[in-house]
Order: sequence, then C-alpha cells, then structure tokens
Amino acid sequence: MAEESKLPELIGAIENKIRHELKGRCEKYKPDFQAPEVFNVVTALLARQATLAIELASAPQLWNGHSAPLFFRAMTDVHITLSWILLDPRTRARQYIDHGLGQAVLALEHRRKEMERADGDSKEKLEKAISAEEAWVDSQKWNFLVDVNI
Amino acid sequence: MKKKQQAKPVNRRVLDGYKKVGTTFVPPMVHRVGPWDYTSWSSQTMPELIWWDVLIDRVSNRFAAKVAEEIARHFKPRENRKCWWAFISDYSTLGPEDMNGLKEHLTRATVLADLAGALVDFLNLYPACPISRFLDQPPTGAVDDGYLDHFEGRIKQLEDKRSRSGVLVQAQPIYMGFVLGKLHVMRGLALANFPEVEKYPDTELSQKVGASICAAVNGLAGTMLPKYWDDAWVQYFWQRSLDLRPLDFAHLEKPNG
Repeated sequence: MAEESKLPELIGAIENKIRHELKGRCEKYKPDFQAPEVFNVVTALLARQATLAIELASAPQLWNGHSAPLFFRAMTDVHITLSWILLDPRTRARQYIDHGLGQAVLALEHRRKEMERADGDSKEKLEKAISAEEAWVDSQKWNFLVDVNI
Repeated sequence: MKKKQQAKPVNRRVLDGYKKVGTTFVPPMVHRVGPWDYTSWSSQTMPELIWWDVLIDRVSNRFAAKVAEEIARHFKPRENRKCWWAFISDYSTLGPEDMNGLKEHLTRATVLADLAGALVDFLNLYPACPISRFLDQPPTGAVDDGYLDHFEGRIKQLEDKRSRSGVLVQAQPIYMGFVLGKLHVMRGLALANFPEVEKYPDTELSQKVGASICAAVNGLAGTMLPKYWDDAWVQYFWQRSLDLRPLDFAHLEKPNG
C-alpha cells in the first residue's frame, strides 16, 4: 500500500526530469539561421520523444508487455529518424519536411476521391476536413506545388 | 421516348495529372510550368522591407511614400535594373560617394532629418543595418526595451503579408518602380489603380490592388534579392533578434505548458 502511494510522486518526478532534460537541450541548441528548418525539425522530434516518454510514464496500466512496446516502437522511430537527419542535417531536415508535406497532400487526394462517393452529412464533414488540411499545407507551401514521394 | 442519360460520376484518379518520376509524383504546376524557386515572406522579404513599416509607424504612411518617391527620383537617371532601392540589402552595395549624394538629395527634399529621426531606435536595435548610413553618426546600439517590445508587436502584424501593414510596406517597392519608370501596368489591370491601396482592405478594389501588390513583390524578391542563405542583412537581422530576445523554453517545464 505504501509502495502504491508513492507512485504518483514517482510519475511526477519522471515527468519533471524529462521536461527539464528537454528544456536544457533546447536551450543549448543554437539555431543556424542559414538553415532554420534544422532547428525546427530537431527540437520538434525531441519534443515528440519527450511527449511519448511522459505519456507512457503517466499511465501505469500501460506498463506491460502488450502496450508498452507500442510506445517503444514509436520512440524507436523517432530515434532512427533523428539519427538519420543528424548525419546530414541541412539536406535531410528539408527532406523530412518535404516528405511530411507530400504525405499530407496524398492524404488530401484520398479524401478528395472519397468526396466523389460521399453524400449529405458525411460530404459536409469531409469538405471541412479537406479545407482544414489544405490550409495547414498551404501555410507552409502551396499544396499544388508539393511533390508526393511514395 | 428515350431515357435521359444520367451523368456519370467523375472518376478522378488520386494524384491525377501528376507526373511520376521514379517514386515521386510531381504536380502539374511544377512539371509543366516549373521548376519554381521558393521565397519566404516572413523569413526574408519582410525583414528586407521592415524599415518602411518603421517610417509608417514613427511618422506616417504619407511620409514613407515621400521618402520612397525622393529616393526613386534620385536614382532615376541611373541605369540599374537590378535594384529599385526598396530593400534594405540594396543599400549594402552603395559606395560612400553615392550614399553622400543620396543624403544630399534627401536633405534638399527636406526629408533626411525626419528619416534619420524615425529610424534611430530601429537602427540602435540593429546597428550593422545597411541603412544605418542615413544617420550622421553610427548607431550607439543602446537598446530601448520599450521600443523593442513595440517593434516586436509590429513584426507580429507584418508576418501576415495580407494585413494592412503588410500590404502597405509591399506597396513601397511598387511605388518606387513606377517613379523609376521601370514598372508599367496595362490599363484595366488591378495594379493600374495603385493609389487605391491607401484604402486597403476596406474596399473591394483595394483588396484586388493589394493582391496584385503581394504577387508582384513576391516576384521582385525572387529576382532582386540574394538567396535567403546568402542574404547578409537577413541573416544578421534574425541572429541579432535572437540575441536581443533569447528563446524562452520555460514553458517546457510546466505540465500542459
């Protein structure tokens, strides 16, 4: 019982530690204004890794052989992506962004295709979703100029 | 009686019109018309034109237009198609004699004193700015915290290139192009009603003029400015801005921050 009562305190301590480590890394990493996307991509991936670690740490019911590996797989993906980008940051950070935008445009194209079969309420919902996704892509690069790499 | 044939649903393929090159699908606008070069408003064009916003903010839109007109008049007899003197980087190529000639012209036009006075706080934030030579003495670099807060607020508005402030600063190079005699617009096009921009965005015509200005300036930035990574002023602007206001990651230590 005494052990269990210490759990929230332990979880809080883990979260604080992760947040502190993330902040320290972000502060030490100086942006290079010739290639600002490197800073944006690297810190975003670090933030994702920290979020995944905090989410797993905060949910003891996931600490088992079935659920925890789902988080570990996602965290491994982040690690692999980050390691790959850091081998040639200027080129690969840009490629990472372009690939992500291309995937978003591909998803948009599938939704547009879905629109052909949709009717009534689902059509309206789809229109809203398409409009929001288009706006998100366009805020970075016009969607009709984005290459899609499959 | 023949039955009316029902319209068949359009059977559009995903990525229709895209050209497949290896594993990449290239959009029609790129493979038919491109390749395109990317110019960022907020990263590059905005810092290149920001001094016009300083003048509009510190004095008035009319004064900024007067300065633009006088600078363009001074340079009109020179044959220089690569530069319209609206971007800050344009002044980095100006030799000392040419700069003195420009300042003499602006003095005769009775705008230099007000121009220097309006720019001084901005130039103290960015002492190595190429237009600091409008001042008689180099900027001291003494930062006024109140002005820094105010300036950052202006930047936030300018980041939206279609905001009123954004469109008015973009109107400056277009106006200079007209005065220099380098920009000609066909009757009937929105840009032919250029003075309407003063009313932006309150009238429909001003919105059309504003849209034409944004499109034209994007083209000018793409052809007249160095590439982003070679643009010394812009690199300095962002680095200095970071020094003036270091990134604050304190929120990362707060849950739900």
